[in-house]
Amino acid sequence: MPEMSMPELEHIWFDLNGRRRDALVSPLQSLAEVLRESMGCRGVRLGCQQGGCGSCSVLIDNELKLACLVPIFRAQGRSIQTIEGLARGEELHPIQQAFADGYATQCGYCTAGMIMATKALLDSNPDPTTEEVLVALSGNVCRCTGYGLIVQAVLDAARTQARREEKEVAAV
Amino acid sequence: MPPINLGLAQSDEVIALDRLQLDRIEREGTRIRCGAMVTLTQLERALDAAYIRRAVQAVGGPAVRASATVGGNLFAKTPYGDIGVLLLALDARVSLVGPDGDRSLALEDFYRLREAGPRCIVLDVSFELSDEPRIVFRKMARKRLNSASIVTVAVYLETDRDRVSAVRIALGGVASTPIRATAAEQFLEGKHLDPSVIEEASSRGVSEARPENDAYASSWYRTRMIPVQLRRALTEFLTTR
Repeated sequence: MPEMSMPELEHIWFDLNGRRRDALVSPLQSLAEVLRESMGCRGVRLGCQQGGCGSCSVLIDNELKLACLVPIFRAQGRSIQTIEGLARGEELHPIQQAFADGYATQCGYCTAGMIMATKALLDSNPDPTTEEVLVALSGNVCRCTGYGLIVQAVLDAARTQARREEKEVAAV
Repeated sequence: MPPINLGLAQSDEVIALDRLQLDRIEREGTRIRCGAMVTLTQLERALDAAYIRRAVQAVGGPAVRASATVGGNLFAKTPYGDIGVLLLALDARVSLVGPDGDRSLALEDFYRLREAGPRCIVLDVSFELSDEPRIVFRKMARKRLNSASIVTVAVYLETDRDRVSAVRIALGGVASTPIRATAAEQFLEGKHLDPSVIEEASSRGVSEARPENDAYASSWYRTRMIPVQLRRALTEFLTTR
């Protein structure tokens, strides 16, 4: 095996939760590693690190991706959303609130990924059927097997968001 | 990325093919040329056909489908690689570039080359976007969503005056690569499709299969499921078309 040299660091920037961030990265790093280690996004969990568990789910340009499978150079200039960007100050995002209210977490390790997958679903389909929820979450594994309450929380979040939008429309 | 993440990569260099414009789908009438880096999500959106949707939805979850590519799927190890099973039934051709220049070969030959350890890059896959009634795609797995194949079946079938005039049967999960079920195809040629013909063709579906044991199913079980899945696939041509 050839001896490994230290790869040279390169400058990269991207938009993280609405703010431009710059970093020096090694081309061998994954987006998940950079988000966790350099950007403090500890909600991006490392699970299987091979695309099988969904715990590192993030949105890149509004599309659901597994950050462990994204080589860092592909993040250049993109817009990235993680769980850290959802709450407005102390006010939880309706999806986070629905998960908390519905006891849809057990150990919590999969929760951030589940919530990002839910965000991707509700952004494109605000009123999903149970079947559509199952498909949307099919890449996210909960080893506590708390799926029933998670699916219910997603349906509840969709209803809360719809009610909130109705109110906003009424206020206008 | 997984070998890099797990510290198993043999090199500290990564070559990105991102700027080679391999992420395009070109369409000339019904002829499709799909770049190797087209994602499964892109494929599903661009080609509005129920059998494409079915095959794409059979792979991973939404995030995996948004990153997984058509070219990459051709290198997926059994029991993965369901897109290749559909493409085999569609009689796809693969364009490669290597030290000896460009070439194009049938997907079936590509899989033989793959097993020999190719020194080449896949550029694109081209195929005929067939009429929906001519294609059936079925995947049997332990879970309904996001699970590896026990047996995957894709069938292209054309009839002329009630007789089978062209048929291609591709099987996945039952050999080291997706394979064609040639014995079953030969039996069906020229036959009138009815339940007894389907039964006989399905039992011949095991001829080329060399299934392995893995965490999802035993070789024994897969061998027994091939005729069952093939019979159900062929029966769809009787009932819905």
